[in-house]
Amino acid sequence: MTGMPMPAESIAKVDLLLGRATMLTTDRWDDLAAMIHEAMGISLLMAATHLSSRPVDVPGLTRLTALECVEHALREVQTWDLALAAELPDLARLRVLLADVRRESDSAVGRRG
Amino acid sequence: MWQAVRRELARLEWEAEPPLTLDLMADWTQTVSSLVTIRRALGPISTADPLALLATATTGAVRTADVKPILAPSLGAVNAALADVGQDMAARTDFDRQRDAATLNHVAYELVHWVRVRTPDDRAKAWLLAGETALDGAIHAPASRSAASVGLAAWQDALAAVQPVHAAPIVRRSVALGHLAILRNSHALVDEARSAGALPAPYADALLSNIRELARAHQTTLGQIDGRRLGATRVDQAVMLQVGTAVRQLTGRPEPAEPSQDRLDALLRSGLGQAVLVANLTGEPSAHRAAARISQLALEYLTNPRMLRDIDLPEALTPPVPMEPNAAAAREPRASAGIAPMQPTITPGTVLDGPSILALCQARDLGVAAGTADPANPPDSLRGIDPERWPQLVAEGQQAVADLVGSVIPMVYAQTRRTPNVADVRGQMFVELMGAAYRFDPHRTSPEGWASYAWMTIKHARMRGVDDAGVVRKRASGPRPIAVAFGEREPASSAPNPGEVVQERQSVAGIARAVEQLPASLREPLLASIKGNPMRAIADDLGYSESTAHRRIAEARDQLRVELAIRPDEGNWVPFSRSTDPVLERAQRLYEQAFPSSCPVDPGRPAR
Repeated sequence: MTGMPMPAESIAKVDLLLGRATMLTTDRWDDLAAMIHEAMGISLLMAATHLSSRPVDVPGLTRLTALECVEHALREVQTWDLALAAELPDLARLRVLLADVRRESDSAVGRRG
Repeated sequence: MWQAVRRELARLEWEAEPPLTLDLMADWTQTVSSLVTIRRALGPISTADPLALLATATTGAVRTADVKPILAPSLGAVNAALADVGQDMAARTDFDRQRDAATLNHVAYELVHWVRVRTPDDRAKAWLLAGETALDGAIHAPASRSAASVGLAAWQDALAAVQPVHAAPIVRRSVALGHLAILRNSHALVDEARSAGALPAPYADALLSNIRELARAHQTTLGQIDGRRLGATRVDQAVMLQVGTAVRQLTGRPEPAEPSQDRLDALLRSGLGQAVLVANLTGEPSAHRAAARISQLALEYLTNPRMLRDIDLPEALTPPVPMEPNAAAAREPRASAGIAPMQPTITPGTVLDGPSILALCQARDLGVAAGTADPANPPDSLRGIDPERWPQLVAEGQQAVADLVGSVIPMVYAQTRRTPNVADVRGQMFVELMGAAYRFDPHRTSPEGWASYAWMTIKHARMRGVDDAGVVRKRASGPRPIAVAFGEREPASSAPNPGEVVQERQSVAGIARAVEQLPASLREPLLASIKGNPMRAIADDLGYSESTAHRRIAEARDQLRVELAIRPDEGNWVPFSRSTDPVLERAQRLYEQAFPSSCPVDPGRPAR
């Protein structure tokens, strides 16, 4: 047992952000949206397993784009102690997915620009 | 064996004035229980088995809110006939497993159809149709079990579990998000199959457009839900856990050995993840039309599964992800909670992962709360759940405890190998484990700590060395050290004297002879049991059900007891069960109270 404090509120925020990102990419059927959906699956289970004791909010959530949601989620996840990997077996996968989505989006934007 | 069932099915159809029931769904639940019992007698039942899916679908139908009791012809006589088949099957070994399994599927299919057409509520009807479709597929286009089908069975199970709280925003959000992931997988697979020419283009196009339409409907659902205030109660958590675990199974990396066709086949057989049930749960009007079309297309596929041609589709339709090593545990059957008897629904020794243990603890706590709560003043954990559903929660809680114990049962065998009084010790340890399963708090350590907690509990029980009756157990350690030598024999030694040795050898020889005289059908399970093999392993090795193995071992012991007890020439040999020691008698009584025999004792047999 690591005895690490679980960032339950932060996990709930990530769940909120990725739920929003999933909703915004519902009509996209590419790999990028698939990765967002997979990340959402991970955060949904994490949030259920480590329930926040109080409701959480992300200011301006409804104004965020899918990419902004992913970026916020990535920042949030990067604040978590890496030692939590023992208790959150999907942590590494979540970090990789979010980073990939961000990178792919950047390159897509770059190509378009 | 099936004659009575056939007769009752005919009566159900033709009887002019049949006996009536006021609650068809209650009758049907009992009937499904009998069907599942027969299926269990035929062999291990997986989550993806059509009977398990029927049980889950029935749970979903029963849990559908605001469904009025249905007045209909009673299924009591059919149920009684099925119960007789179950008993007959448990007592025999000469049945044709394959033929009986096929017969069972046919009977179940006919019955669920009969119930469905008499069910007026569309939502309950949709659940029954899910069970009927699973049986339809098993009968007309059987497919082997696959990881995708197991994941989809878990999804159906999750949908049934959240049915009582279907109006809660957390349910609508979790179900919509989860189904979006399934739709995305389906879209990718159908798209690839279309490109590769594995699916007819018009069919694939219709499927793709309806998948997109349903996804848009889910988007509307999600747009209406304010996610910021969700996830605060234990009910919320239980819902999210159940759905989240199923979603994770479906969004994780596909089994490397599983071809894409198999995944697509499983998705189509499931009506693309029970689209109609999902639409009913999310309540978004625009979802119903697309879901109904998807369901029709899935049924069309079922009538002609060859339309999915065996073309090697490209892999990696979903990005690779390391699947949780123990996620398989969560896939194990929990389909018939409340319907199946309280046997573990997982293979003994299955290593459960954290989320599964947490989910089981949640179900346990809800069950305990439901068993003791006052409907007029329910605790927080039960708010929003109809008190009529509480007995179901109690049953699910007991099932969760049985599963927790089942996951660590091999520890008991490991601890008691070569132990004297093994039955007593194991019985005591099972009691300790049940207590531990109720006491274990996953939040104090972590859910994964259950195995360590269970191990320490039974180790402690073992080391205490005294059972509930106050009898000191013999230790398995070596003989006491010799203190004083007296000639060739130490007076206080526990080693037997030569006369005792001869007597013991004669007794052992007598037992061996009696065992040899047993018919093979009784001798083999008894010997396997003596070697310490678990009941399930014995049953698997010998090719019959666990209850049959249990019954045969008990019968073998009875025959041995009679055989050995009636010989006056055996001197003062006293069978263990005839002991006049009051302490031992009390211990035996306590043990029998704690673990009543699962098989009724034949009154014609000698008293124990």
